[in-house]
Amino acid sequence: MAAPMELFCWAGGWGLPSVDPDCLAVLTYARFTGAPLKVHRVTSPWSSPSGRLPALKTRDEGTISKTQQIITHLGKQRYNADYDLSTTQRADTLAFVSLLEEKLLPVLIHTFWVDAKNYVEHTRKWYAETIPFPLNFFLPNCMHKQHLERLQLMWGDGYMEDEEKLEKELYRDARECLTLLSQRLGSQKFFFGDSPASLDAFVFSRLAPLLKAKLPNGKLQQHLKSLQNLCNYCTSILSLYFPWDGGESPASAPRAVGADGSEAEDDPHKRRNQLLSVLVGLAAMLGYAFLSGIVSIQRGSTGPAGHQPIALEEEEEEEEE
Amino acid sequence: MSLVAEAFVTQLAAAEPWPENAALYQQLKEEQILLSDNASSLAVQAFLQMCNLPIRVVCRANAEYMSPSGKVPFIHVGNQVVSELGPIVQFVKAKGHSLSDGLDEVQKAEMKAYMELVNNMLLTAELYLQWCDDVTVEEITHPRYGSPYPWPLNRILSYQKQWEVRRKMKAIGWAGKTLEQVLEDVDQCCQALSQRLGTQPYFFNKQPTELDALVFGHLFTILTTQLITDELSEKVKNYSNLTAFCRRIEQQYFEGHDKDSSATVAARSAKRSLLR
Repeated sequence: MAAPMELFCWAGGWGLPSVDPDCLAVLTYARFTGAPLKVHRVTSPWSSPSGRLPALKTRDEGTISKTQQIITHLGKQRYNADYDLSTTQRADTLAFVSLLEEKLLPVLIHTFWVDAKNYVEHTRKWYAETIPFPLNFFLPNCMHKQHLERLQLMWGDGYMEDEEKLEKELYRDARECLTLLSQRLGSQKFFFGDSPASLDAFVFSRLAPLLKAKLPNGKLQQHLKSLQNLCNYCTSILSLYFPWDGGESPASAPRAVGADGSEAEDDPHKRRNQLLSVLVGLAAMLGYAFLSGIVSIQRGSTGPAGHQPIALEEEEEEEEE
Repeated sequence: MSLVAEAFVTQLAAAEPWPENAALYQQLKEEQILLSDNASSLAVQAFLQMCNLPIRVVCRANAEYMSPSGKVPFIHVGNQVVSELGPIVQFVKAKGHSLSDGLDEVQKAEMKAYMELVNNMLLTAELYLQWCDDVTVEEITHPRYGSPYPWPLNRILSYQKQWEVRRKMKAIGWAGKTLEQVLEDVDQCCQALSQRLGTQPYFFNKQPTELDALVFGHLFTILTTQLITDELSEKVKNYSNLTAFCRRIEQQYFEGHDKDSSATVAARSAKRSLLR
C-alpha cells in the first residue's frame, strides 16, 4: 500500500487541535470523513513541504496548499462529506461559505492580528512562544504585516484608518453574519441534518478560535457567546471529533508531556548556550588582555622563559610602586 | 461620520420622500463602462425599478472618482450620495421601501448568503477577466477605460487601475488561477444559482428581492456583452432557467416601463461597440 497522505498544520492551542482557521477546517473535514491522514502538527511554516500551512502531501499529485483545493482533493479520494447532500443543499453550502469568507473571516483576521491589544497580548505572545528560535523574532511580525496588507486591499484604506467606521460597519456585518448562521442552524445538530458536511467544517473552523481564545478585546467574541446554539455546536463538535485535543484537562496532559519533551530538548540547548556564553566571555577577556598588552607572548623563547617577562614586568611594577 | 451625525442623517433620510430628480451616476455607456461596473449599475437600476422608485441614469466620465467609496454606481438623492448596492438597499429601507420584509429569518440568511456568493464569485470572475486576462486587457479594457482622456493620461490611469486590481486578486488568492479555473468557478456559481432558483419565477417565490436584482444585473450583462470569446456567456446559457429569469425581469421591469431604459440600450450598445 502506498504511504497515507500527510497533512502539515499549525500546532494546537487554546483548547483546539490547531489555532489557524484554515488548518482547523481541513483537520475537521478529515475527521468528519474519516480520511486516513498522518497529521504533523508543526510550529513553523518552514517545516511544511510547500512553505505554507496547511499543506497536504499527496501520493501522486505533489503538495496542495489551498484549503478549498485540499478539501476537493479529499472529496475526490472518496472521502466526501457532501455525498448525501441534495443539489439545493450543495448550492446553499457554496453560498454560506461565500458569506463566511466575505463577512466573517476578514473581521476574524482583524480581531486576532490587527487589533492592537489582541495582537500584542494574545496572538503574538502565543506565536512567539511556540515558534522555535530564531524564527520567533520575525515570523509573527511578518504574518501580521501580511494580514494587514490583505485587509487593506480588501477593504480599502478608508476603513483601516477610521476605527469608528470599521467598528460600526464591518464588525456590525460580522455580528449580523453570526446571527444569520445561528438562525440558519436553529436547533439542528449540524447544518444539514444529523451528519456533518463541509459547511460544518468551515463554520466550526471560523467560530472555534473566536470562541476559545482568551482575547483581551473581545466584542465579537461576546456576541458569539450570546448565541447559545452556536456555542453548543462548537463544543459538541470538539467533544465528538477531537476528544483528546479539545477541552482543558485532556489538553493539559499532552501539553505536560510536550512540555517535558520540549524541556528535554531545551536542556541540551541550555547547556550548550551556557557553555558557549562562558567560552565567549573567556575569549573576550583574553582578547582584551592581549590587545591592551597586559599579557604578551614573546616568540623565539621557550614556554617557561616566555612566562618570565610577565613575572619580571610585574616585579618591576611592584618595585616602581 | 460620527455616530450622532449618522443617526441624524438617517432620520433626515427617513423624513424626506423619494424625490423626482434622483440620479444614478455611472461611467459613459457607449465607450467607457466595463463589464463589472455595468453589471453593478444594472443591478441597482433593477432594484430601484422593483421598488417603483424613479431614477434617471447620468453618465459621467469621472463617475468613479465622484463616488464616495470609489465604486460605481452611486445615487444622488436629495442631498445625499450613496454608493454600492448594499448601502443603497439600506438607504432605501430607511425611506420605507423594502423588498425583503416578507421573508422570514432563515430566508433572509439565505438571501444574504447568495448575494455574497454572487459578489464573491461572479463579480471577482468579471474583474479577473477584465484585468488579469492579457488578451482582454489589451483589446478591450485598456482602450475603453481611458477613452475619455487624452494620451498619456488614458494609459496611466488604466495601468494604475490594473495594478490595483491585480494586487487585490493576489491578496484573495485568485492571482494563481488560470482562465479555465475561473470559468469553472463561474459555472459552479451559476449551477448553485440555477438550483436555488429551480422553477420559481423569483428566488423567493412570488416577489422579487434585492438578490433577484443583483443576479439579474450580473447575468444579463454577461449574456449581452460581447468579449473576445463567448466562453463566459456560454457558461450562463447552459442554465435555461437563468436565461428565462433574465428575460422575465427585463420584460417586466425594463421594457414595460420605458422603451429607452438602460437595460435595452445597454444590450444594443454592448453588442455593437464591444466588438473589436
